[in-house]
Formats: sequence, structure tokens, C-alpha cells
Amino acid sequence: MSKNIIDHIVADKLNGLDFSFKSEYWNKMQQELDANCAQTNTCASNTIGGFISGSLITTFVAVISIIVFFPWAMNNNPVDTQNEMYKDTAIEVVAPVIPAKNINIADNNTQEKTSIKPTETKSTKAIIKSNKKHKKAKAKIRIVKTEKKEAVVKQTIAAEPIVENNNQETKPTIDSVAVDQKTTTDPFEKNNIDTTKPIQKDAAVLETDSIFIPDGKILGNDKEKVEKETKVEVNSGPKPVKHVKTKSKPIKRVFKRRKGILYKMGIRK
Amino acid sequence: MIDSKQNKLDRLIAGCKDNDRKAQEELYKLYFGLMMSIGMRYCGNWNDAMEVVNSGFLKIYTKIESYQGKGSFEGWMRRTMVNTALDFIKQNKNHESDIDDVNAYEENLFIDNDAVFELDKEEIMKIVQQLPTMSRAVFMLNVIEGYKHKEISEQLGISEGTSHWHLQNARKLLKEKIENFLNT
Repeated sequence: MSKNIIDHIVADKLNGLDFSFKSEYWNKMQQELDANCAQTNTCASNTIGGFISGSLITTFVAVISIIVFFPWAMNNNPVDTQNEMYKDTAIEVVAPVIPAKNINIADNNTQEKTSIKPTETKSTKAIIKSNKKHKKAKAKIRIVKTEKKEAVVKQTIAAEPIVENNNQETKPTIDSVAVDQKTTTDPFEKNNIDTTKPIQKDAAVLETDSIFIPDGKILGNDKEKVEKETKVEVNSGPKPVKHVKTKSKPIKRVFKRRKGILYKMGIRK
Repeated sequence: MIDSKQNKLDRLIAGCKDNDRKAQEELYKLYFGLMMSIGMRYCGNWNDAMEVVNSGFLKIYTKIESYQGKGSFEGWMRRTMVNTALDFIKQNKNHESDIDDVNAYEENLFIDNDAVFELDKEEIMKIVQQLPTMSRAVFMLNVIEGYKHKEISEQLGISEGTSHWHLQNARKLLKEKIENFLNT
């Protein structure tokens, strides 16, 4: 008998070996299973496991949707944000420029407001149009401002003759003094001496109180009165534009959008 | 018949994947005999074999998700059980001292008695269980499972020479014990 024969005999005998099952074996196995479940928590009931896994999945999906939705919503709503920008700029332009009496500018601004409001819910084309309107309105404002400045300058220029008109009562005396001044300012020149006219005592008194300037301005004690009167008239008109400080436009931050996975998927524009 | 058996097995596998205790019990009943025979080959007594079998079934229940349906489920269970038995042997490893000389045995193992074919299965099993643990394991892995010495050495954490020696030792002891049994 060779070793192979021994191997064959043992293998054949052992392969044919069988052991009958008894319930006590399973009881022992069940105890081991319970012990293993207690150690590793792998035998939790399916309902609890399903509930926990379901709640976890729901939470995960909710978090992901929130994370994705907010940036998407903020990036895909440029109309409202831009219109808000226009609104803000309109208010900021209007608020400082409109004085109570400046009717022309106020009307222009109200027109501008009404021209912008309808574009709030329109598309980007409408925004471009409104933007043009906005620019036109701004140009109008500028024109009105320049006109206003010119008007103010004209008023100031016009105010000076008013000074003369207001001082009409004193003008004859002043004119006479002025006429006399030509002869009396340089008393040492012979040409200035008008020997035909008699010397007026009152004229000498007026010379000391007021000096006539050829461009119509008055210096001296009467100058203050005249200035007060002219100021009253000038202040009663529209306020000068130079005191109005317009707020600077808010800096619009423009970031270059990154073309991420949402752009590739077509969700983000 | 084969389809119904396969369907039953598939149902049991699915139940075990869902931690269904009834499916686990049915699978245990179905394969207890085969698994116990494997345990008895590698272990010296019934209690150790029972421990190995239950540990093997526990592994099967917990690792059944890794079974993808490719190949025989019985073969997968068998390999799992053998590995469990080998783990048990390695845990109780205190039998290296009985190696005398690796080259001491020659291949002249003959039993000149035809009565050996008349031996009962249980008698052979008792003889096998009397072998030293490592020699028995190497003999089973080489003769029954068909592993090579390199694989056996890797599985048991021994050298190939030691694996050879254990195999020769097992054959020599089996011959002596069978002859003694037949002579008595």
C-alpha cells in the first residue's frame, strides 16, 4: 500500500462523513448570534435602520438642495438686483438735488423715476433700454444743472442792476457825485478843476461817505445797505446749485462669474 | 429539482443578507453536517469542532454580503469554514516542538492489509483526530483541500519544509495507527 492509497482511503472515508443536526446546536449558535449582535449592533431591526437611514438621506438631500439653491437663486436673478441698483441710484440722485422750490429738476427726476419703475420686471433688453433712459435723464439733469447755474449767474448779473434800481433814491446824488468825482478825485490836476461850476459843500460830504465805482458797485457805508437788500432779493430766488452735494454712485462690484458645473449643466446662465 | 434547491438556497441567502433569523436557522440546518465534518477534520475533538463550526457560521452570516453569487455558495462556505478552522489552529499553536528532523522520514509508507478498505468512517475519523494538530491540518489541506505546500505554509504561517515534514509525519502516524487498529 502506497502513501497514495492511504491518502485516498482517508479522503474517501472523511468525505462521506456526515453529522446529524440537533436543535441544541442551533440554540448554541443563536446565543452566539445574540452575543455578536450586542457587541457590533449589526442586528438592529430593519425598521429602525431604515428610519435612521431614511432620515439621514433626507437631511443630506435637504442640506445639498439648500447649498445648491441659494447660490443658484442669487446668480440667476440679475434683473431685480440691477433694478434695485437703479432704484438706489435714482433715489440718491434725486434726494439731494430736489430742493423745495426747484420745480424743474424735481419734475425731471419724477419723470426719471416713472421711466425706471416699469422696467423692474422686464428682461435684460428692457434693462438696457431703461439704462439708456437713465443716461438720458442724467444728461437732462446735467443740462438742467448747467441751465440752473447759468440762470444763477444771470440772476447775479441781473442783481447788480437791481442794486442800482433799488438805490435809485440815492442815485441822483451819487451820479452827481460821480460827475463831480471826476473833477474832484485829483484836486491837484488843473484839468480836473471845473471852474464854471460853483463849489458845492454837500458834495464834499457825500464824497467822504461813499465812493462810486465805475462798474456800478458801491463802497462805503451805503454798500452794506445795498448788499443787504440785494442779498434778500438773491436769496429769495432759487438756491445756488454749488451748495448741493450729490452723493456719489455706489460702486457696482462686478465679479467674473466662474463657469462651474452648474453652468455646464445649463442650470446657471 | 435542482432549480427548486437553488431557489431555496437563493431565498435563504437573501434572508441571511436581511438578518432574517429563520433563514439563518434553515441555512444552519442545511449545512451543519458538511461544516461539522470539516471542523472534525481539523480539530481534535467534538467541542473544538463545534466551536469552529459556530464561528464559521457567524462569519458566513456577517460576511454574506460579500458573496456576489459568482461560483458555488457551498464552495464559498467551505472555504470560510476551513479558514476559520485554520485560524483556530493558529490561535492554539503550541506544537512546533514535536518536529525532530524534516528529512527524517522516507516515503515507504505501506499498509499490507486489505482490511483497511473495510474500516468505518468513524474509525478513520478517530484515527485522524489522534494526529498532532499541525500535522493533521497540513494533511487535510494537502490531501483533502488540494493546497500546495507554499499555500499551506502561507496559511499556517510555517515554512514549506515544515509543511513537508508535517505531511510526512501525518502519513507515518496514520499508517501506524491504522495498522495497530487492524491488528487489534
